[in-house]
Amino acid sequence: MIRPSLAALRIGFRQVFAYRTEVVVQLVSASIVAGLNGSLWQAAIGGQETVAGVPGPEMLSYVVMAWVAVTFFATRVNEEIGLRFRDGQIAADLLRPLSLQLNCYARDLGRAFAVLGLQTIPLFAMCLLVFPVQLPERPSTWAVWLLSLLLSHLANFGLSFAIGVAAFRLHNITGLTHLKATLVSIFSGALIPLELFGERWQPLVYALPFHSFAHTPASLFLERDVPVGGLLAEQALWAAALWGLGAFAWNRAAHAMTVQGG
Amino acid sequence: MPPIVVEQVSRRFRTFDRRRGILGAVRDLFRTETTERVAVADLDFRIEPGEAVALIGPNGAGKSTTVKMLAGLLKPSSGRIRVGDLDPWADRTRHVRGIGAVFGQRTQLWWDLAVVEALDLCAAMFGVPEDAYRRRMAHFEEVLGIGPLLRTPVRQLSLGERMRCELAAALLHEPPLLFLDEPTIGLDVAVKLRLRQFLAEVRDAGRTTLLLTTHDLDDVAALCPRVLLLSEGRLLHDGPLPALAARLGGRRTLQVELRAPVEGVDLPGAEITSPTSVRIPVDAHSSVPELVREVLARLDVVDLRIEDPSVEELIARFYEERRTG
Repeated sequence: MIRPSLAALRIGFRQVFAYRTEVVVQLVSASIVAGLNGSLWQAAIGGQETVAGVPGPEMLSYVVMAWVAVTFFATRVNEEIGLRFRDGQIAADLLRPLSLQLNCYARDLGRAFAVLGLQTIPLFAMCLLVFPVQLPERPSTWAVWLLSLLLSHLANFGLSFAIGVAAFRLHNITGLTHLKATLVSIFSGALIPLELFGERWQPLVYALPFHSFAHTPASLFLERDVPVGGLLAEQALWAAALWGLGAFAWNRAAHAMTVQGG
Repeated sequence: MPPIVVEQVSRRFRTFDRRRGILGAVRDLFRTETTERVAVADLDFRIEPGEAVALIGPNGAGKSTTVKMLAGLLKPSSGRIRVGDLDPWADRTRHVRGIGAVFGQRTQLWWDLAVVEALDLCAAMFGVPEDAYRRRMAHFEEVLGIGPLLRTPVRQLSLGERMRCELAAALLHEPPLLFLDEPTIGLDVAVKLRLRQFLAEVRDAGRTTLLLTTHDLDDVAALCPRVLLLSEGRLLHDGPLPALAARLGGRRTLQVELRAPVEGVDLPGAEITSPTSVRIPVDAHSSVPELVREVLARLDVVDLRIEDPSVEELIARFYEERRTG
């Protein structure tokens, strides 16, 4: 199981490099969005000492780091599976001695590692130059942050995979894909810091899995007064639960599956 | 090499019946109607290790469905499939270790990547040891001529080049079972010949059971001593191709093109298909040379050719035969 997974991981990694222009364009577009996002919040925070109880400089660092996290955990595996189902290419994935879920995960993780080097880290470096980001004081925080990003990616993958295999039954998952993207941007902290949600919303925000995608890694990076182990465990639990959802969805879909087109 | 055992296998699927027009589309939102269709019904056959078997039949006969079930991609609606002691669908990840598959219309290579990357992936996926991988690649480069293609991105290959690479990818782990779904579809004659020759070598090496679907009876004649004829999801014939043809009364015909129109031809079974062409069934005569001599003696001939029956014609004949008892 390990060798096939590593092979799939390598393919995911290699695919990112297939089109050189694409690599550059993606980085440029991600930097524009990150720059815009940071500048907007910088202007909005202005000279305020605290925003929703959070010190101004910390809030700015939070939005920057939340966005950096997005570049890493974002996955298009749902669209990919949907497309491969549509044109029947999924047959090739099923001919591998590996469960579809593990196969897709390894490939997507490979892609995410390539993206880490080509987007996440360069973007982070650029943000450091432009915005006054608070860096961790403890060296161990860097490792915690990376682990947290990996768990974000795993959790997001679990959900995306479940939506992707829903294509086997629903045949068109554009709506579901949009719904998920919207929920993730609103409730992960990527678009709006979660502190800005009103009192009444807080229980909902923290009951959903999305806060562990961007809010958690950003909080860990900023060394907020939070239980590090507890947050990582919570992320791991969400990741496991969403992986289980994916496995369940695949199990249901596989029985009904047809390989489309002849 | 495990035997393949298929017992009473059926596969049904649902299709949605869409209502017509805008109003229909709105009504479809609330209630959909489905029809159950039968892709294959009550299949029963057994394939022994080392056999080379062709699945033939018209479009929609259930050939692809059958291959997909044997490969573990589709679950039979009822019945039982065993490959060795594995159930292809339930034990898919173990089952696929022992099979190689080429589905003519799909690719197991990676569109954006060079061929060699996909082959590396296959080797790693199936745990092919380094030295075996090198040895087999050297062999494929020789017999399939894929050496010059290895560094080309898959999207830039021609269909013939891609099919040769697909075969290499499917055989890299030396699977005891090889499934080919229309491997020669859309290929030119030269590439077809090359693939057939290659597959014949694979078959003769005796380490691989071969199952292929095709519309091309030349594939069958060149590769498969045994033919399964499917039509509308049912198995109509199981046996050698010559036996099938003989059973159907060997429908080879002599096509004759004439210089000038004729009124009638006094030869058994002769049929005028256009003013200047005549079709004569070969089997009504003692031998092809004799028939040709006869035709040349009596008619002013521009062109002659012998045509083999198509799969469709064989099946049409089959039904005819069954109806007439």
